[in-house]
Amino acid sequence: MNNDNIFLRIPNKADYISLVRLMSSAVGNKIGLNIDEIEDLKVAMGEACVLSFVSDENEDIDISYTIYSDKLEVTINRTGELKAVMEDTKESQLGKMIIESLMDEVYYTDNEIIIIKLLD
Amino acid sequence: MSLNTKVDFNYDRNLWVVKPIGEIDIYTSSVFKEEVVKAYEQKKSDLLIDGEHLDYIDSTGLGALISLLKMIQDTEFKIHLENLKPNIRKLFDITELDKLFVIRGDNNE
Repeated sequence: MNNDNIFLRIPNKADYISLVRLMSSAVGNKIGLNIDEIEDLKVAMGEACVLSFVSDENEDIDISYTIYSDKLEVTINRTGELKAVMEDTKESQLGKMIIESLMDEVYYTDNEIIIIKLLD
Repeated sequence: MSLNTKVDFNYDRNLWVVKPIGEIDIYTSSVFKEEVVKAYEQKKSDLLIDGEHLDYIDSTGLGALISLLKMIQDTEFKIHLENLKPNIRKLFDITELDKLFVIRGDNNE
């Protein structure tokens, strides 16, 4: 499974975020994570999507999972800026706190969130 | 993706019992909040949120709970959380919201 890529593109609509959670669980299961780790990945991905979600824009959200031998790297990308990350509202702080606690590494750029889960 | 919320007044304990069934996320959190606010405005009392059938909550759901807390913070009433599943209890620990809510009867499977 080295460097395998899985892509998912969802519309910028809140009801599709549950689909990302489901997909994340499936990917976690595929790479051999245990139940708690799968739950953590699912929750972190849900939060990353909430941060990427902008209610007044229409661009799709692209999610890319790359499976390396030692880690899973997920990139959540959207055209346009990640306003929620930039604005630093109370809720986005909660979201970031959750992602950072559950995952091994997290990086934010102007239009991407990169999440890394190290594999044993 | 779906959420059903049962809200009933318990006359023995003199409080609202709120039972969210499903997921409180970005899609469902505003409706959840509205239902609880509607009940509270009908009869002001303590709120008990029973997490027995709550499978998932995200930061917008936690945000909804915080806004309920703000709604009652200047009153004599409290919000109690009960029977939270371990995966949900964990999020309260991470975000330190366990210090703001009265959490009891953890459902440790």
